[in-house]
Amino acid sequence: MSDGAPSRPRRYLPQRRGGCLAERAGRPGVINSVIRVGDLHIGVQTEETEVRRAVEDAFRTNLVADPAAPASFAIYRTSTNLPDSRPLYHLHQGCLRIFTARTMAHAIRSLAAHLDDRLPHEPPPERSLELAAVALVGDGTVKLIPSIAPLALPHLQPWCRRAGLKLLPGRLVQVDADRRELMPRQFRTLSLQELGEEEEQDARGPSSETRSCAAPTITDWVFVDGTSMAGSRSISPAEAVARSVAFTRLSRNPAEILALLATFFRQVSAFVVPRHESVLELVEELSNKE
Amino acid sequence: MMDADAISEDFVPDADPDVAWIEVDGEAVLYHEGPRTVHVLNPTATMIWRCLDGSGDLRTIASDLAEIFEADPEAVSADVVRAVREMGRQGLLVGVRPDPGTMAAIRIDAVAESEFLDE
Repeated sequence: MSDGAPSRPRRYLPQRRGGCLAERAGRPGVINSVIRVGDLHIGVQTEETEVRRAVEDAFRTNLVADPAAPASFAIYRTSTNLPDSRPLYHLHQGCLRIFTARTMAHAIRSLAAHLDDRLPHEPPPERSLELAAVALVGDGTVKLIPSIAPLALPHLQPWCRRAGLKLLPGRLVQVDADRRELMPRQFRTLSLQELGEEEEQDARGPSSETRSCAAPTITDWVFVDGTSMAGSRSISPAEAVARSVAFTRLSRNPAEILALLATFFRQVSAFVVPRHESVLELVEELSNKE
Repeated sequence: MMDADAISEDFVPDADPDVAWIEVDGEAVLYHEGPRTVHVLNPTATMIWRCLDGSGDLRTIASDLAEIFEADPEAVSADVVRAVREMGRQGLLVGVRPDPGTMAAIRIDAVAESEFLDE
């Protein structure tokens, strides 16, 4: 662990989501590991030694010693007394639980996704788009949901699991617009990209026997529009392009981005649903059609 | 700078160069870089938008469109003036004062910022 070089600038994330982690800080066994992300020092609170070791190992080249850094994130493990039940790993941001995983590696990847989002932006590769969207992956296909509220994720996740869909960690995805494929994400803050076999098994999900190694293909895009009074509806490629601009990082020439979005939505079905619950209904309907 | 309501058949419209656009299945999607707004035009408005290159007045544009669609020139002219006035109100034309009171475009700032930055 480096000492965080006192002369280097440091900032902390604003503590806007309640004081839940600060309240836990004094409890026995609760430790704050601090990860340097650019000039940010971000505290990650853990309670179990095994979890803390995994976090510190995964981010080892970015660990700093900074007792003043507040905890912004936490990973906690819970388990039940049921026989053969596996523990669950919960990622919290302040008072908000933002992700639950069946493996520690998956929870750490989710944390890495949130930390990476705070690094200076690097433009995505040519012919690709960077989108603020949640990705549901199942059986080699992907459904993207751009406008899901963070508070809806814990509700969505158990449903995804039951439906055989995996919710990818993080809210930024890169897509190859021509091939409509989800591009694999390389985490910049993670010191270890490979987090173990356990994660690989988890990532394959319930349809592991039939999945190929090809990048998953994006089939559907679901916009949540809370102002819409109508039910779920399919929308034209032009409306989809217009709606998606709000969720697209405009890091290049806007005309080029529009052209990429048009290429993308000529191949991907787009829908508008009036509320978060309708996402589940629509995705279920689409999954049954497949 | 003129008001959109003052646009008549003599007006020579020119699309704002800050507007990037693409046509998708006959519908134009416009992204206005300055105010960060997005507009979707229906197929008829898209036809008109394509003609706004600063070289012809609305009378000429309407006449061309009426000939192409074999439609009544007066009716087409009224539609063209109405559509171009609306584009002017939306700030999409050079030399026409936008009217914030009637802005119907999707403003993307709030959504984009909240999606990309959650601090």
